[in-house]
Amino acid sequence: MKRKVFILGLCLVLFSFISYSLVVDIQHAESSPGFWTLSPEGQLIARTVYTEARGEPFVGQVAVGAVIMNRVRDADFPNTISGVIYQPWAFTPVAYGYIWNHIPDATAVRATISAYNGWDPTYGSLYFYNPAKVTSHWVFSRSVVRRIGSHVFAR
Amino acid sequence: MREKLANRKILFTIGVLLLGVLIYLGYTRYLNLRYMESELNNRYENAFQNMNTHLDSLERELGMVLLSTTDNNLSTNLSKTSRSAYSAHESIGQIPIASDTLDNTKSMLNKIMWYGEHLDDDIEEKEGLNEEEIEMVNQLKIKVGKINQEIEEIDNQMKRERFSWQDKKRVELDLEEEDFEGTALLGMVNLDNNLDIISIREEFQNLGIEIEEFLLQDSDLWAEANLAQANQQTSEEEALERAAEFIEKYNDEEYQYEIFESDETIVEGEAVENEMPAYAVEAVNVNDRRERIYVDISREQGEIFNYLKHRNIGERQLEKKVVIEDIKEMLLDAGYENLVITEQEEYGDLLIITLVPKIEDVKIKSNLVNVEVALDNGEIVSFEGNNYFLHQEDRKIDEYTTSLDINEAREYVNELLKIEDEAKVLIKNDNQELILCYEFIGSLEDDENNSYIVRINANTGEEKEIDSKKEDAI
Repeated sequence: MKRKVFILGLCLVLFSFISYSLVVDIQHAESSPGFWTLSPEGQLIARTVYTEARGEPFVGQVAVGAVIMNRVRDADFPNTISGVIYQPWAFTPVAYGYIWNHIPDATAVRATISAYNGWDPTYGSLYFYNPAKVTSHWVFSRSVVRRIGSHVFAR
Repeated sequence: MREKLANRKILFTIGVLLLGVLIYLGYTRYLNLRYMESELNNRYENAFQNMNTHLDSLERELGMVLLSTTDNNLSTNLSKTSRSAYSAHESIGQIPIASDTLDNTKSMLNKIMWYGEHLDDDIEEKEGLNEEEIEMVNQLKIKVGKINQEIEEIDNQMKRERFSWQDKKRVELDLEEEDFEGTALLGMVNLDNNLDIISIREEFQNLGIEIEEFLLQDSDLWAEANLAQANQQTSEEEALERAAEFIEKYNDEEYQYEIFESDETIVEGEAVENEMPAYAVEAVNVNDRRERIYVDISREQGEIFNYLKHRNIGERQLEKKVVIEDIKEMLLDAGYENLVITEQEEYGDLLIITLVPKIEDVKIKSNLVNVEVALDNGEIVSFEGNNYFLHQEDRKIDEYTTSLDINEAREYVNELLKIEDEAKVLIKNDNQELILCYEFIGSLEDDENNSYIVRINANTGEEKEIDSKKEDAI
């Protein structure tokens, strides 16, 4: 009897392991058809905005896009959009690959277009963080500009 | 009994097989993980080596600038120095260190990039470099040379220590951190700390160049604007009233208003003062709470920096026409005067219109205002005027004169450009210098998909800028 339970348990472990290995986690949210009309760089911003700020108010999503654009123009960051987004560990969802699991919705796409074209509710901010989830405390040394939703934006 | 034994054997065999499969899958994953770690390390190592290579090229190219005797060679080598400084800077961005580390190195590379472009820009006007400029280039070369030497030593130490980048996660190079003490990373901290950026700044000041003015970042400009707004004349109540009045004039729905940004933000249980130059007002449609309007009102004059309406944008209605006069009226109401349209670009169901102030006959390009129009009903859903308010000084155009008229300036434009539009414009170059130009927009023969902008200095006839409009498309 014990042996049967052991083998059954083993089968379950194996099944879970194989399922975890094989199932591709692509979640189709209410994706925006507008997303596919964006340029590759635009899509990259939209993916980052969506995964970083999903659930935040619209202005908060524009703000995340604006931080990306501000970094591109700033001397301390890479000079291109992809350079900024792929900078190692700059954006957690990029580092862990979450940006590829979702297709941005219409709100994130519009936020991307606005941020790319100059809307900046963060007034030149270069950083943002969720105070409840910060793991690297150096960011507290930056000057706070404002809070939007759960994110604090800082220069 | 025999049947029981057979069952056991079958179960045992299945168990062994399952265990085998498990071991196989686990081992395959382990190999993949090692492969990925190695690949990641190679990428980081490649970025580090690229930085070395570009710094090495930069040192040599600064030497070539010093040796150049013809304008052609000088210009080519200055361009190369800017490019190498740019590439070295870009490579630093791909190393897994925190964004605010190696600041001195990045700052120096940025200054070299800027200075190379600045000198290159002036070559035609004054033929070659003067003594002070040669000395400046020489100083930069010596500093880059020292960095190169130290980087070589750091690289050797890394190889000796079998240093690996792949397990480094946003390394904060700070002397108080102990994680990297006694490792090659300490060399990078020392390299950056010993880089005497102050003397570079002083050298530039000796040349009469206030480099900080040229390298002002948007974040610095906003920090300054925030200080200027500290002397606030508009109260919270007035800002709320102003926002409500504006929103109600251009929207038929009923809204609830709230200033949702106070003067302080709570971070880690402590109140931190916000450095925001405006009051942020949020208006929520009481009949459809998903629809919200965000308006930022400046603390000093009560101007509207940003207006952002979020609503579902329906299918595009082609018969709806965008009424330009409505846009101008709304912007005038928000505090923006004398605007004319310079560009229009469609993004799906949105039309983005760029406007700039036109004073006398000059368009002030640095004061651009962007407007978003929803193509389902032609409504203005947002506008932003950050640049209009940030660069107000640029609108004082009295001090600018022209030696050329537009017909004379047109002679300087390459005849391959099919001119479609022309105007007198005040532009701000990368060095934040204001230059009065004639602007010609057109396309090349047989290539009507791309639009080009050529700007001719209205005094010297020099070709200041050639730009492609398509670059801006997202």
